[in-house]
Amino acid sequence: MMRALLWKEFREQAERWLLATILLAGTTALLVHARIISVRESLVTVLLLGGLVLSIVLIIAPLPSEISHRTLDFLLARPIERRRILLAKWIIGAASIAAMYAACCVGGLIAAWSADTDALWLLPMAGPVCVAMLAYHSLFFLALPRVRSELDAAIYAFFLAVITFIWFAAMTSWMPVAAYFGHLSPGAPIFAMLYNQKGPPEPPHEFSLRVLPTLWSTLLTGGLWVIAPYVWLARPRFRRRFP
Amino acid sequence: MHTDAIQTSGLCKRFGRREVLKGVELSVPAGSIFGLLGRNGAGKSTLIKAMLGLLKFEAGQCRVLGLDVKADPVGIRARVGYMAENQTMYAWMSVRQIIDWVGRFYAVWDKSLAAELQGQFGLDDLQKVGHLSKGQTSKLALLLALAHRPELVVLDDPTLGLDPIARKDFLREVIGQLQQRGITVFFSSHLLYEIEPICDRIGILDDGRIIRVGVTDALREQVKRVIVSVPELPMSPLAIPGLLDVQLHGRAAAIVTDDLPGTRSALANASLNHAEVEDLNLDEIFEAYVIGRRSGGPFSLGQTAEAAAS
Repeated sequence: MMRALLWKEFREQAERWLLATILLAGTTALLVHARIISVRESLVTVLLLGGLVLSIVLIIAPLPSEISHRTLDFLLARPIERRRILLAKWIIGAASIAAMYAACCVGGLIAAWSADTDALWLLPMAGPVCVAMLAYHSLFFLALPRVRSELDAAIYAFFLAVITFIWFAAMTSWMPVAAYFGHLSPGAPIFAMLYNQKGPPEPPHEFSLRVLPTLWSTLLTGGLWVIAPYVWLARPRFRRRFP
Repeated sequence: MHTDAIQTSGLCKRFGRREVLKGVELSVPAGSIFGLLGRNGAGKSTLIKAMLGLLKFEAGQCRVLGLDVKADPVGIRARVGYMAENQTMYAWMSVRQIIDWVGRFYAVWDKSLAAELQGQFGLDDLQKVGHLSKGQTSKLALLLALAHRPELVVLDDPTLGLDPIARKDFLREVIGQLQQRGITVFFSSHLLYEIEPICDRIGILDDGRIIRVGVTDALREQVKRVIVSVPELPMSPLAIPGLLDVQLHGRAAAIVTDDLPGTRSALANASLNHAEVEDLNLDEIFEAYVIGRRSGGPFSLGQTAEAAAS
């Protein structure tokens, strides 16, 4: 049953995912190869801002469109628990975002290799950003089931994105606080990574002061915003609440 | 062994401040073809969704095929074939894809029956669902509601949006399929001529309440129109038992009642012995129950004339 739901979600989202991935990976490769502006800054822009917008595009589609097209009624008339429908949408959404960032990394690395640039640091950079985006995916996903149409979802998502950008900007000016105490926010890995990318620590404290906070933030955010929603969707109490 | 396929008691459902179902009491015997009649907005679809566990209800109880809706809605939906009004399916799927895909949600899925119905309905494997006509979409929805061999089929205004020919064609298919299989059918519609030839029992839902349930033929036997000449009617109030509606037609008054012996005796007591009794079709019975006078209290010619004028 779950496989059937995942197949449908994949088929419905594949086209949108492909476009978003081509756009993000293409832009990353172009910026790395052309070196128009600082590679690091341009990647932050692409991975963070571009990724956030594209992630929102991927997230807003599934549930509100089913509600507005009334196909959800058709689906719910089958012997399926609602949590399974949500779970399938959540899994495909999260997998799309992770795959989009993976494709982005591959694109960036190929471009760096062809331009003879060292860009292996792209991987540890993309990891935290990807986890942060997955965390935002969960946040949006939990908010969106209440939205009834695609237009409403787009409006909600736009305001959510604006608030997120303002939040990023505010937190960046408080980078030390954000890096170490902002673990409850979905953007925590990004704050930690940004701080530690340009932070002052030098060897022999490289691991403890540069890598560890980013790793810690990424794992914590991943656990809190990515693993926890999955467990919540799968738990028996949820099954009773949303039969 | 349960004898009622559907049993509800005191079912209440509210959307915000609006109470849509106000204590629905209903029993549908297993094996019957039950027609739920009601005007648009009477609460038919809400009642069906509550019965299938698609909507939560605030108060009351509902058992379908012996299962409690609140405790096991998924178990109920596995044994029920449901066709919603204005059913929308995934337009990007082909007929073959949607049949195979829906089949994966059911423990029992009769592929040979699905293939037989597909051939009978003339549905092409490769045709996209979005390219089907409304009539074909309804037939596909019926196929998807029947192929898991349900014990109960719930049809919620299944012919909504179809033209008269397609509607008749679809109903012929429905009747044929359902009569062959001898399963319980719960048919909801506001088009009475659809229900009349199909259903052996009917229930009338009005303003969130079931106001009448009965065997269709018995209802036709019970509810009659009594024509009385106006000059004979007394100006003083006249109490008619089982009074449903009173209408003036020229120089005659048409009294619709569901207690013919009582009405006859009341008229005889008022020295009105020249009453003519007429049979009613389901349409007229429904009209009498839903938009009729319904007070049941005494009436006089003066009141009736006033009502007719207003």
